[in-house]
Amino acid sequence: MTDVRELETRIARLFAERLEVEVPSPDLDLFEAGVVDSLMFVKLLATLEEQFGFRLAFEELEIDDFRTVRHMARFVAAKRRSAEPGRVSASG
Amino acid sequence: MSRLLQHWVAEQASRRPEAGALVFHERRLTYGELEAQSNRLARLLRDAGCARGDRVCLLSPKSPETIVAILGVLKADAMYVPLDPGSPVARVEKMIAACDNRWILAGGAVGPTLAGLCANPEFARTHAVGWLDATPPPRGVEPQFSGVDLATYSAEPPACRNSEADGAHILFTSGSTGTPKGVMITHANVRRFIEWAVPYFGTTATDRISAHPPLHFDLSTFDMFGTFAAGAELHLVPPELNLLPHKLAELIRRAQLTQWFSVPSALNYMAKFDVVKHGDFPSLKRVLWCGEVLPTPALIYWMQRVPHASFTNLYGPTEATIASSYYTVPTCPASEDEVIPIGRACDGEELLVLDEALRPTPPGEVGDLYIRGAGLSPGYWRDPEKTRGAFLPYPGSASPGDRIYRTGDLASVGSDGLVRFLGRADSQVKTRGYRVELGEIETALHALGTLRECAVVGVATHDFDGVALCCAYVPLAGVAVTPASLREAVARALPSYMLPSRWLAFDELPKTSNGKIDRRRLKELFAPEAVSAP
Repeated sequence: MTDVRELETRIARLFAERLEVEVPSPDLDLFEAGVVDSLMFVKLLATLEEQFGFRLAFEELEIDDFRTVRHMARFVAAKRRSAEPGRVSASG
Repeated sequence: MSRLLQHWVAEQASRRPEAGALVFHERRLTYGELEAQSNRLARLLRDAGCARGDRVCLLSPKSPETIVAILGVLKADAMYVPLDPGSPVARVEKMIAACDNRWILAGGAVGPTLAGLCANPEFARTHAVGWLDATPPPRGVEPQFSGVDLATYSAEPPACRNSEADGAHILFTSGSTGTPKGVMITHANVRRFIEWAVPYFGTTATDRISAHPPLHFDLSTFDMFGTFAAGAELHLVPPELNLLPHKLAELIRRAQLTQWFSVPSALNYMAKFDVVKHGDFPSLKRVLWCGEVLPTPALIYWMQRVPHASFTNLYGPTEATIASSYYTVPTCPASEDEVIPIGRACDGEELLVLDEALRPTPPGEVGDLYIRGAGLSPGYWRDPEKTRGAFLPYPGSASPGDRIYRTGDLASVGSDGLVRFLGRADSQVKTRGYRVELGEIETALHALGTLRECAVVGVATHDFDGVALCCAYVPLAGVAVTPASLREAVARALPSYMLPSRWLAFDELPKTSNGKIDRRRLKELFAPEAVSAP
């Protein structure tokens, strides 16, 4: 659980620093709030790939995994668990 | 008898009540249901005191309920005003104030915006809210009526007094001084386009048509009324699918759509992420786009993979209703540099390329593009000054109703008679099909009170959204601002598509020799690839 909390903080920081968006709460629905549109979404995916060292293919993505920062943290945690150990980069 | 937009639905409902009119997710609404529900809503609105010519604002994402509401408003002889549910409260308030209305119909995920509006006691005192959904209204909102009250009203059509010259809707577009402009569109304006388009495209009752643009985009009126005029089936595209290009493709496949119509960015997005297979979408007969230029590489991508469909570029500003010209691409372009014309005028319209003295320019020469014809809006809602500035008398005509609209676009007419778009004469840009006045963004940034200087420029990108909005700023002395804090603050005044995506802080903005902000220099600074190119 701590892992997911840490990831939430880290993802919120990525939003602020890389995407220039302050996300006030990990439970904010980013789509309904209009924070994430298609251009932002592509940047977001690229940022997550770069920061967490995995590759994402559109075909495996579900909208709901990206609806809130909390959902994204869970998605990233699951993705890291399933990734081969050698592919996970630690720095962030 | 007047022919009004809602009559197409009534006709289908009497002839084919069981035929599908709307599909959204797993839901399907027949023409009979659409007719009955909208008749009930019209009666309810009349009962509540809604009078002929009243403006009824819709704050509701695209859904079957919202389309019922549009028809209900028209049947009550009123005008619908679709508001962007993604816009911040402050901007929505401006639009509501501008159309001087008393009625709001709301539904869907608009809770915070609606509660924000209702938190203003003056708004709550002067406005009646109708909640369209069967679910409870958001907290802090006390609706006058809701979707469940419809059942108590008769499903018989109410008597209408409107004529074709009456307003059907008001659509807001970005205004350069910071206030959105309301364009009034009549029943006749929409009808002339539909009556050209349905026979031209050969739309029939067997068509399954996409509804992709949001309702505050005028392209959505073609989706709706083009479908209803032909008795076809309209498939509402859930907006969140726009994030995942393969889901958009999946919808076209699964729903077996026969027509796709969107802004170019959606087509470009699907092309960039290569989600269309060769021979994909066997049912698809036509692909249409409007709103801005579709990059030719994306067009080639589509035409190669879906060779069984026709591809039509539509062109026209909101002020001239949906589209004024068309060009069906005859063969797949041979080169990625080929410029796709905006083509020829639709029936009842005329495209004029004129010089400064309003004389036609010789073939091939650049001029200002004007539109003349039955699609021209009567003007901006209660703004005769702006109306006079954009709608001019047709040179040499004695008839006062004979007007031309200055689009602000630059164009030329080729020796082939086809019109080609060559850019803008002013500081309007298009991003993801939205018309954005850079002045509106700058006004909102200045209003924050934290900047000494700022300028917003549009820089062409190779991305799928065409133009990146870039903001150069100089903070006030002693004020600490970051791009994130500026973006967050200005997001309270502007919708997301107007928020700059690139930011640069300066001690002083670059100036031209006559002291104006050097926008050309700024564009270079924001386009590093252009600067570093050999």
